[in-house]
Amino acid sequence: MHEASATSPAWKRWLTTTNHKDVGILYLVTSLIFFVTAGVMALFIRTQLAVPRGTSNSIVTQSQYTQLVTTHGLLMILWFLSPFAFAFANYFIPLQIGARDLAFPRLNSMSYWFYFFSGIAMGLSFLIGAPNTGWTLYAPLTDRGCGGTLCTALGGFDLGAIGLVLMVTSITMSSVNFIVTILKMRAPGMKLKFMPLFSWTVLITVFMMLYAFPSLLAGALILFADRNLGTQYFSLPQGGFLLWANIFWFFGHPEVYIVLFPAIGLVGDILPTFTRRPLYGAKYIVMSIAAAAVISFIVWGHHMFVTGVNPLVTKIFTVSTVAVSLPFDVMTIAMIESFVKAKIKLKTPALFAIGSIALFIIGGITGVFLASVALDHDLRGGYWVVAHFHYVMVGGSAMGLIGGLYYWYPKVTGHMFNERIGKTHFALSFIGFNLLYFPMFFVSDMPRRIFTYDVTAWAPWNELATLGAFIFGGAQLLLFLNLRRSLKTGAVAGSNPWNGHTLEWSVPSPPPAYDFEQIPRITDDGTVRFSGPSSAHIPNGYSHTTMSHLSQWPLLIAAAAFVFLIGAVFTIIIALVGVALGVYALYGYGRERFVAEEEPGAESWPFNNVPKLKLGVWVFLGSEVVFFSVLLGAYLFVRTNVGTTWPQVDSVFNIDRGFLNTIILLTSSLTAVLGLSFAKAGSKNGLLASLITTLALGAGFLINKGLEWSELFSSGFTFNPASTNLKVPATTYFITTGAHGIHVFAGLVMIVYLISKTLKGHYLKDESATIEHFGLYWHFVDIVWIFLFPLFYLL
Amino acid sequence: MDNRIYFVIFAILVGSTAGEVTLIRSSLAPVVISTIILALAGMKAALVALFFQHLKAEPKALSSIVLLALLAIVPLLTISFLQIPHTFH
Amino acid sequence: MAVSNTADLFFQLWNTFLFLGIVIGAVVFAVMGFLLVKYRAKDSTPEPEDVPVMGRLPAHRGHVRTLLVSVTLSTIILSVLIFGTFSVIDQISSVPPQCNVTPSPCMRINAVGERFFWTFYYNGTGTGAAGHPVLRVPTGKTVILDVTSVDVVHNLTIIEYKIKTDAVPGRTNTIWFNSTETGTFRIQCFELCGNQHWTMYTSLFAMDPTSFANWFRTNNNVTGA
Repeated sequence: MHEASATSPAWKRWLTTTNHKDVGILYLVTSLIFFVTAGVMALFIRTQLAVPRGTSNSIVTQSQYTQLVTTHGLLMILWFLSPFAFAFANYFIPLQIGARDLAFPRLNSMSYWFYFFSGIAMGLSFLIGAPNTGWTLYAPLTDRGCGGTLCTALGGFDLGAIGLVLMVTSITMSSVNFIVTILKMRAPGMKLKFMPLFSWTVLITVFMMLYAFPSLLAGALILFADRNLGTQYFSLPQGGFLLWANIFWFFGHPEVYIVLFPAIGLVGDILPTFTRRPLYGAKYIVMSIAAAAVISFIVWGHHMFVTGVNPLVTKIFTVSTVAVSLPFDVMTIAMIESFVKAKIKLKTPALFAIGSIALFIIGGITGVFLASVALDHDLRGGYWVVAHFHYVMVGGSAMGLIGGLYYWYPKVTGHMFNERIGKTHFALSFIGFNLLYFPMFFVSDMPRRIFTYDVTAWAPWNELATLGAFIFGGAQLLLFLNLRRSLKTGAVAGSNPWNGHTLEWSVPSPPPAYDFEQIPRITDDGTVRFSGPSSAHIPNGYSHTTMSHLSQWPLLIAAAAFVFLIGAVFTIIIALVGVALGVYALYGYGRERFVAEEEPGAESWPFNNVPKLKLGVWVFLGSEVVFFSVLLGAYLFVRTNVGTTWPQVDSVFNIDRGFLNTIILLTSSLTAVLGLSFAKAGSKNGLLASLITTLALGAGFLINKGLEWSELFSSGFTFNPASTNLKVPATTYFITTGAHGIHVFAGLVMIVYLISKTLKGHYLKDESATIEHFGLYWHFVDIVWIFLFPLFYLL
Repeated sequence: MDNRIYFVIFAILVGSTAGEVTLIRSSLAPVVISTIILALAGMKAALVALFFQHLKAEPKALSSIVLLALLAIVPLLTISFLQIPHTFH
Repeated sequence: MAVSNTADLFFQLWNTFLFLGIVIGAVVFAVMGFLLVKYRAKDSTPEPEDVPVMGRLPAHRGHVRTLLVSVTLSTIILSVLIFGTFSVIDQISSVPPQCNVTPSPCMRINAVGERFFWTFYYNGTGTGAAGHPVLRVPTGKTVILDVTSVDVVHNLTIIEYKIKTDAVPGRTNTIWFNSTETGTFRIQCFELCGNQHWTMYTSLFAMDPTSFANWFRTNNNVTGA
């Protein structure tokens, strides 16, 4: 890592920073750019829909319109709402829990740059045809549903898919980072029960992200394969659509709570500050949100109520969906009860927080209608749905987050914003919002995503909505003007302009690079002990005049991934450039001496004796469990749907080769764990021998698999086999074992690196953690094969 | 440093894999064979996790991260299969 | 009276939801508004005793009592909604038993979605079958629609009948209804199926039995009539 002086150019700082506050600002600016972009798209949509039109007096073409509705949804949900929330999470979680940064600062920077490049990919897709299938990407519309060929040609849609893959990667990295940070880096005495609501909701959110996003990733990769490699998962007449719907909505429903919970947490932090009393029932609010998070994983079927699945399943999902409203009920009542005997100051942050609760209530009540499978037979696909989700996502989530923007603006910039303009912004936003979305409840008969309509009864409601859209959209100008101007002319804000009690208000505005001069300590009764004033004390690794902890590798790794994936869609040469850049960047990342100082005595229950990096590896493996389970589940689902024409056991696959591969991999796990023993004992030769043997075995696995694959190809078992009943078995086999094989290959690359460092004497005795971490990954890859072998070869 | 346990576990893993392969040539009903094979696979996975990944010696909280993942996907892998049969007559 | 039995079933349940939703919403907003006004900060308002201060992380506030009461009330209300839902779905998701005799007094029609139009078949969808772009049905008769698609996923909605189902390629989804009044009603696709998704609508003509019989006799075997 290196440093930059105060006179270094600004671009150098912003491209190489790993400081959580800087990364937070990067997320903030980028997410707001997407907010404005997708917001302008919405204005086009609303203008088009204001009155019934024909193709001659429309303001966009049909094709542009379907791209607009699709990308408006994708950008708002994935590229605006969560990144906006995580701008705050990045900036304020360390401050709230009493840490100096996240657990893995370079990984954090990498998360941002993956997000950045994913946005570039989405932007590029506009040049050749943005995704146009609705943000829900239903198959076979996204697949070969049009006479056996792709409905949307290869090109822009696949760029969007790349954007999605890069975004999911970014999010997974962030999940690992925040989970380890919040669980391992709290200040001494900052027990979980003392954490502010925002920190709690972010913790719950990142766990949800960890377990939900791998499903989307698996689905996106399978869809990519269907489109680009000719596999047949989602265009399969037997169950292809249902397969996509299940995979997507299993992710999709937790996702909409993922974009909501941080905002609820923010509201829960803003309320005590502006009501001058603690939150009512804070611990019950936390329990409710956790309960809602858990239940959110078993409600996804309410998006599939009229897909023709059997009524028993729809009843299950009606019950679970109705049930999830109960914890939200508790949470809302508790927040309202917080007003009792309080002293409520209706400053701008409070207005947005309270407004967010009110709008969330409307969104929640109208959501209960949608939980009824019976009512869904009228409401599905109509504007009641559109109104409901905008009430919760814009009213509940975005408004809450904007409240947070006002709340924390003084801390980040050191200036107060103009309160009068802030209140005006709120009033116009609130009025505009309701004028925009409330009329939509009255046109539940109108389908979503239609270019125009001829039913004159729908027109007045649409006109009102469009008027509201322009008021709401225009009001946001006040936000940007106010915040921009106040940067220069706003009154100086001290460290605690609102008289808050959470730890971020104890540091200067803006905070120094190291956040706290000395990490505060909390006693059992909740008293916070700050160290005495000692402005001469600057923590290790930081200094007054230079920026520290800089690294250019996260940006380069993200760029390499971006280039590689572009090449995967368009041309292999670009992909190879990406690989070369990636190797160079990963090597640089590995070689770099980057020190993230540890504070002694951090609270880390229940992971007291688990080092941060090991915890991080396990968290990552948690997401991999979901990824491979979805991949395997897809195979089983497809096979069950296809039924009896599936090839019999022992008719296609060479069981001996499969058995051999299983033994090879099991042996390699043995050698890997023996290597760890040697490392701990300090035996360099033992470790070296183990690593080399593991490498050889792993290579043997891949060679054996390569031979097996070529045998299968020459026997006609391909994506385009002569006998059509082999196409789907080939699809599922090659994709699933291929994904596993890539993981094996990645492991081999890691072993080569480990061998090179072992030769120089590393990883012995106390330094053996890296070997252990590698082993965790390698054993996991073995476990996946333990299931793959019987599921494909023996059943 | 007790490496013997690793060899014992390894022997069990190899033995049960051999058992899986011989099982498919047996004359038991396919459902029975499938169930036993999958149970064996689950057992092998657990052994690798507990002993090679040392989860047995780690705080329970660490196992819970993976257990939560499994808990999350169980609904997906069960309920979606309930959707397959048509029941409207 | 509603225009179909399905609309009738729907509105009974819908009105219950709507009534409860509006009442609960109104009560909650009234309480919220009242509290915001009553406890708004005025110069004369003293700082509450438990005001959070920097240096002290707040103690717990509040009883679980009100929350339990609210959860119990909600559970009761939501159970009503669930049972109402189950009752309706049981009725609309299975063909009425009287259709299961031979000869069946019910009429079975195939509806096929294709980008971007619907085709209705009265005599099965075999080769050469006569397809119609609009749906004609007699009032007073149970009509069963077997819905599918030949390309992407569509959704067949009879808007005023409050009934719909996805049209999924490779799968046949079934809905049924009984028209109670003559009239012209709108059928539209409610699932994005391409750029011209918005054009995929047609009409349902509910005709009195005699008129329908006349039409059926002369036009049924003629494609597009």
